[in-house]
Amino acid sequence: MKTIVANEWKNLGRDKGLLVASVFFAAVLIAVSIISVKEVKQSKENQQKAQQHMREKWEAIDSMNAHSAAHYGTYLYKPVTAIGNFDEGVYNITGKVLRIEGHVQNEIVYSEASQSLLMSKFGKLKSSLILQYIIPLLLIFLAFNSMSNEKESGRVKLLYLQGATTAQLIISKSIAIWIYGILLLSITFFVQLLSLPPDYDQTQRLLLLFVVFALYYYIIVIGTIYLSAKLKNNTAVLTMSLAGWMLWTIFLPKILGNTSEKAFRLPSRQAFQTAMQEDRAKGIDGHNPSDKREKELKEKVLKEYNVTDVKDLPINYDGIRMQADEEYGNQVWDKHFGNNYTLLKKQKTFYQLSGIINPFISLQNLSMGLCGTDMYHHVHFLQQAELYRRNFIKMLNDRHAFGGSKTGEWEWTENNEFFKSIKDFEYRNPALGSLLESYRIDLLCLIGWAALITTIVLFKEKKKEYV
Amino acid sequence: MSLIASSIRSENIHFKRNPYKIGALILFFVAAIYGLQNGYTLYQTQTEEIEKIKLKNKKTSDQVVQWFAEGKSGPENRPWVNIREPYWSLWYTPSPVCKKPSSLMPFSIGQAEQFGYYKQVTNRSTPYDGDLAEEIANPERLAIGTLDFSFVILFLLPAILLVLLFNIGGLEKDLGFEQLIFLSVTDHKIWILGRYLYYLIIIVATILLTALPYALLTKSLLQDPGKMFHFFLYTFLYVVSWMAIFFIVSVAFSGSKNISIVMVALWLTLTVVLPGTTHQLTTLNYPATYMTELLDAKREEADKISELPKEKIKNLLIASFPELRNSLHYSDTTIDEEIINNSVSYLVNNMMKETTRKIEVLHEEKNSFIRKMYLINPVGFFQNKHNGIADTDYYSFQLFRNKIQNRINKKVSLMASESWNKVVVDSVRYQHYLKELND
Amino acid sequence: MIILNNVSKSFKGIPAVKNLSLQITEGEIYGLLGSNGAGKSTTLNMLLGFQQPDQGKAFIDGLDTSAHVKEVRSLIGYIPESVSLYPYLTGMENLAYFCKISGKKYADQELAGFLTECGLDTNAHHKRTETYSKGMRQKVGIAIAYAKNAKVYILDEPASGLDPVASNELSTLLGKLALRGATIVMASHDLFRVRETCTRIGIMKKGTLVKEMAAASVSATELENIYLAYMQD
Repeated sequence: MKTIVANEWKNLGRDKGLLVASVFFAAVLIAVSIISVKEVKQSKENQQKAQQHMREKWEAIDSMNAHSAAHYGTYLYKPVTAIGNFDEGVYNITGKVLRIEGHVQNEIVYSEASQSLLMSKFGKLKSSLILQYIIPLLLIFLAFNSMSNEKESGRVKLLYLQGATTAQLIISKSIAIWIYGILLLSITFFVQLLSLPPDYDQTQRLLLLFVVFALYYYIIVIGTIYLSAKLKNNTAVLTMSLAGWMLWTIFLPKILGNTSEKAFRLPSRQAFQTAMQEDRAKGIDGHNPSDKREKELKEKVLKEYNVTDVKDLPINYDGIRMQADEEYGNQVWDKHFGNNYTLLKKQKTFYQLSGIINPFISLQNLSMGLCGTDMYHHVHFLQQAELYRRNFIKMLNDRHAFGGSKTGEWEWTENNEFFKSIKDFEYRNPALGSLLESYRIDLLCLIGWAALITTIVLFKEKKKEYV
Repeated sequence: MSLIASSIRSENIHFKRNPYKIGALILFFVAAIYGLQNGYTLYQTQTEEIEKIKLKNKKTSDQVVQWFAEGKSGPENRPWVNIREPYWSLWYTPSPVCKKPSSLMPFSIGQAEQFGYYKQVTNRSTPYDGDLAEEIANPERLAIGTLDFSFVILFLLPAILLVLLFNIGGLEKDLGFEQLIFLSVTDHKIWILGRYLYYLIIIVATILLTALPYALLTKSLLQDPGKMFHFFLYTFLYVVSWMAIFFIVSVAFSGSKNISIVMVALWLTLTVVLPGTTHQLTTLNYPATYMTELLDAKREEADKISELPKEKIKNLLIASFPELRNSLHYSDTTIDEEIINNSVSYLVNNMMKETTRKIEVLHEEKNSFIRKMYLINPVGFFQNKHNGIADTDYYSFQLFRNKIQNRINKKVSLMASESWNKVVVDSVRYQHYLKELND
Repeated sequence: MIILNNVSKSFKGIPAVKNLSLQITEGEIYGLLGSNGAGKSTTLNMLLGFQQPDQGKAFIDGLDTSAHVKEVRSLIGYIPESVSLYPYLTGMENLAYFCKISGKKYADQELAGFLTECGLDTNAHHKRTETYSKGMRQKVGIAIAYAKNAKVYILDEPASGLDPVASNELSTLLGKLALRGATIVMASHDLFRVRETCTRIGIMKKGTLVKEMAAASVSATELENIYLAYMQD
């Protein structure tokens, strides 16, 4: 096998066209990585600037009523991960700015995609675009005639007579071309590693990403060479490989994505809001003292403090009412957002399972997931932001209730020190372990594909000869 | 001419006996129908959603009319509401602005899934509010994109053409009788051209065959024949452009392997690499904005205006809305704080308009850059042309934002002028508001 | 060395070889003549182990070619009509590559020796085979078999497309190999070359061996007459 691999390498090495193409691709990969790193750096700086600006605004509040501050609120900005430059995933599509305020959970808004005309259907020229779409095609071009050439020239008979088997030939030739793909992959990952700040999690993700791409390249190469052995001639192999590539890469992801959405339909925004409003109406209206449910709460608090009128309470009852309203609203949000999230997860699982027929989907999912630009990270950010919002509003409502003011004292204000004491939002990516749990299916699909083709080649093709 | 005609005729035999080519055409046909159906589903969903909004608004307005009839001042659990005051009456006047999907939406979904398409306007609204976010959708699905008819034309069709055309001229070289062809035909290029024309006819026929039923279904052919014509014209130009590119490849290269590799490389470059490069360069030059100025304006500048002395607000209102000089409150010697409070949104709206105008200018600079890049991103040009015709591009949604802004303008103007004229609202006046603030 | 025992082979019900029995001994050069579709290539493929007989058995050095494919192949050198080598490798590199695949490692000197013995000019050893003529490639093909220590050489239309000088060189080379004890089977259309090179000749028609003769027993004209007579029947 080593001899065949070495011979294939000699073949690749002596092809001047390929040499020129390799230098070109290497240069493009390096350039694209550097540009992407620069873009993400710029984006991160802008995001941090905006976040800092909003924080400064918050910390500059000199004196304000705690509940007014809840309405004043703040803004959170979705951060980019260090390796987000590799694969943009959903980052361009989803909003980046989330308003945090009392009584309401806002939508994350201002996606990049909504700020201009359409530019591309496959995203920016990122490393992932080249490594997911273009390099596999290059590998197909390198692999498609490696067995069919042997057959068409009649050399394969000589090889068989010298003792080589079909399995040996396919595996060896695959390894040779796969190594070429790995070399191109290494260039990108080397640049990425150099640009990465010292971060164990991001480095781990990057290395895993390398393994995932390497697996996919192996599937592409061995699959093409297998076809090359099976099909009649070069043209048939090229046609079939290209058709397969187009189907896997361009069409099936869109078709299966659409199907997953149709299989597990999300409610329309209108229906979602109406349902939320209806449920919310069943709770306490923080700003409406005449509400029946509110009266029950009041009775309870009065009883607790053993007084008959809210004016006699040693605390500010308004704060308690606002927090009760908040907590009910949170339950409603949890229920409805939870429903949506369940549907999103079902859609995702459906899409992940389609990796069984299309390993490109598994690659795409893992690429986004490991780069932190997938739906799970997006939802994780929203959940973290909501958690922050709840603590943020609770702190303000508690202060309103127990900060020294009495019921109805809306003019009571808190000082700057209090507002400064409320910590800023700090987002942390989910741990790699939990992420991998979500991407088990994709990993299994890729490993399964690689193992399946290898097994077919090793066992089914063991005794077959194509002469 | 007879060579072209005979080439077309003979290509028919080549095509009919090649299962790969027939398969490719069937794939194109199925994908086109699938894409059209996707677009049509979105068209129906949006139309139905808009109908639901209208129905919901009708319920609200009926409720208000009933309050008037029953002599009530508003909802029982909101005693501070008085619908006889212009402010509250207008507050309870549903003012929806909907972007009705174009009947050409089935042909190009474009950016329709990245924007909201309906909005309930209040006196505090802006065209950049959070409720204008896109429909609830799986972000990964949005990032992958929808396979619509335009995608099938712009991305799949060149690939299908590749399968149909790659061995024209190349096969003869592969099988070693290229010389025979050179000797047999008077002009080799004309011979290839004739064969290309055969596929042009087939492709155009397939496009028309798939698209026309949907054009009839949405009545776009009857309601918007001009737009339909433009859509087909750009589509035809696009197909011919690709055929011209591939024709050059067929003539310049020999051997189906070489031809197919060059064609695939061109396809990938024009549909994936160059648009991706444009996208990347645009983002580098015009990074996504975080709208900080807008957010500051909405949160702080608005408050600052509200907190101004009432007299100052009154003067500012008169200066920016001269018609108020003819109102009852203008000649009042004392300032009615409630009237001033109820009309302050007019000033806030003016300030917000200036901020959103700056955002639009910023976006336009980006768009202008994108248009300049059409030279290296021709697929982007056709893509945005398709989207523009189907009212699903950025500019269609900009028009929608303008419509929202006009509705806000009308609402705050009404609120100010009616408050200043101390109008006591009745059912008839409410109907007038409804008429003014609805399409 | 080679025994074909009542061997038959059909493709989709159409017989390619019918009840073929044949014995070829060591040092013999056996020429199989026949028109296109006579069953020559199918016979060779059965000997090479690429096709299994539907009926009967083929043996090489006492080994059943269907049951002991690997062992049989280790004894065989195969020279197709056009020896296709890796064009980007030199003659030496090609030889080294094919030897390594069969598990044999030779020093450069030994490899050069094989090539020279098979008639390839020393100057050509280190040139890429993309510059080789058909005859030169055939010499490398024979060197591959030679380096393998093949006991049996199977040649399929070896003289087709060769110029008379190269064709003559091939005959001489095969004669040398036979003298060293190799058993050679060659299928061909070239009556003259077969009579010149072979010791025994068989004529096949529609899958059947219709005539066998010693090459020395017929003149070129007689062979042509016999061949044509069989083909016209």
